[in-house]
Amino acid sequence: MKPWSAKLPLLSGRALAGVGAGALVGSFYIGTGDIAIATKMGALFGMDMWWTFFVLGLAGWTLMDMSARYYLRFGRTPLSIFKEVHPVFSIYLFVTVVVTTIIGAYSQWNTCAHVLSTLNPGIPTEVGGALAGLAATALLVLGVYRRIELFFVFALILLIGLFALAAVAADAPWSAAAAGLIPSIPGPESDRAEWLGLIQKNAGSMINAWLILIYPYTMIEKGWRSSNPLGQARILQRSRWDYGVGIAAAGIVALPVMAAAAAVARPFGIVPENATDLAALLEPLAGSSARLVFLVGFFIAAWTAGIGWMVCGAYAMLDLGNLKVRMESRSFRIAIALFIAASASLLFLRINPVYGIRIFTVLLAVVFPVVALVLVWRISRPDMGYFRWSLGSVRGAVVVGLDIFALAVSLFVGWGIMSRFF
Amino acid sequence: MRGRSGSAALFFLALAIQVFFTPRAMAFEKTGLLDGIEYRFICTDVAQLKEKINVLVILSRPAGAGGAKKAIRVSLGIPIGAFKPMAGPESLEAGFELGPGDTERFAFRDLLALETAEPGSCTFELRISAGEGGEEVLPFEVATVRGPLPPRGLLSILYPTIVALLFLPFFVFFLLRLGESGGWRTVKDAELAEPEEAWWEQEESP
Repeated sequence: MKPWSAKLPLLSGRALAGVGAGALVGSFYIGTGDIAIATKMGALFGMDMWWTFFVLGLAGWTLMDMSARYYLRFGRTPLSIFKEVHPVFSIYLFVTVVVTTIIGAYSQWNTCAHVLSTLNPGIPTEVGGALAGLAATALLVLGVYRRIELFFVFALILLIGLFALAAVAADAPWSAAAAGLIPSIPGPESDRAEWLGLIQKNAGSMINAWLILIYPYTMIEKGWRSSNPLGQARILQRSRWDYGVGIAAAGIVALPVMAAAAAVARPFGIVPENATDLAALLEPLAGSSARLVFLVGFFIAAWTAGIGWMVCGAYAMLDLGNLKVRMESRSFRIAIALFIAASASLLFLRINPVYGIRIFTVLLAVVFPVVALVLVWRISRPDMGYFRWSLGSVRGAVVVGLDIFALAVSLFVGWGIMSRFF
Repeated sequence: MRGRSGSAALFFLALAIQVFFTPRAMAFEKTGLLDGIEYRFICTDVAQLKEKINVLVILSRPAGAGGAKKAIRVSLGIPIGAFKPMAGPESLEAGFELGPGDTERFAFRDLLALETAEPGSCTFELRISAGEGGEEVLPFEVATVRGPLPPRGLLSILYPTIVALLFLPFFVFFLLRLGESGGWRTVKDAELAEPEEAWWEQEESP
């Protein structure tokens, strides 16, 4: 069968409505980072930079697509790509997975703690964060994959609604939203380092380094795999829609957050130090209900992102050890217990959650160019069967173009961030 | 959600109860009228040491008011030794001229809660003077609470990274104890779960 030649029917309404693992993908895209970046963008530039969520999201989507193609072609786990290239990448990814999962989950528990202390200043960060982390652990340890997936679908819908309500209460400037979809850079009066830094931070959030590899784990959990190229193409088609929705959700959630910041903080020329600051400012300006709605939305975003990080980290650990990838397995639960112990211990540092983004920006800047290079190298090999690179059809050429685009974005962003430090 | 996800449901319930019983804003707000100028000050009432806060000011003059522009001055007195204006002491004063129907939004920005101060309550003082209307002094309290352990900057990145690296041996042990021997460098096919429905095969058939 020629590459990318299958004539596939359009997705059925059932498939379009059946977003599942995409909500899990959305959960780690929509967390402290996404909300903090959207808050800062809104406070500084209104909704002018909304487009970055979609352009960078396209790069993230493409990288995720590469891991899905590899899995469908060979039936192997995502980290096998790195083991195949050279085992040294296993060590590299092991350190990366452990460090970023611990810090990633910690950032989310920390945000949960900040939300709780905003509602009741008597709750210490360590207690609020640990409670949030323990509740997440209980959900994962006692839950099963399909129920967790369903839970994330509901959470995603709920938090989009909550942020939109808060923005409506703040009388957000919605008319500027459509213009924000057109790629543009702020005028010469804006600080170049400021907007470029924001784009790079957003790339760190949207491309998400090794987290882009996790979708195939959800396919393993559900048994989605075919040995037939046409079946593989069908699975890829549906999966693309699924993780596309998850990534697009990050951009959709960003809009009301940006709009609220544009309405509340921008007129004063201030940049809220974190999203709980923004929530506090919402109350006098937009009413107490707006503050509550925003805070609850922020809590759900952070809490589900924390769960997302731990799930991804535990799956990756199972993969590294060639263990069976199952949420119900004992190994998965032990990995979760290790991650919660480590991430909760960081709460004693009491760092502002927004600094977590800086930490990530630096850590991930080292990671995603390497991940992208290895991915592109592997999926461009001629043994990729139906999914191999081919310029013989429009679809094939588009795939090649997108793969190169994703690699270029990863290299540009990684280099851009690292060059600030050296 | 019964049973398995019950803990999550309980947690959200606890959050909802707390929201209901603690409706207090973490922001202070004062409004008033001085010589025909409506003023509104907004500020958080809790600050973490080593973190910054802003004081927001909204000044407006009703559209129906006649007459020329009015000069207004606002200044902020901060507790020396507990807070420091990052933009210098000159940033603690501002002056505006408001015509009928004008609204001015302004903020005293980046007031850093100094790490050398002890957690406690600090008194700020906002002063507003307008034309011949005299001056109003509005004191307010901001509580300071423990802030982050590491200072801002590079150390706030290094500390979490170092702590996370300290946990590496536990994960090495995890892999050695539970993982396949040499699994970290061996490529293996995934063990798939049984699908509920192989929908891709049904759609393949004519």
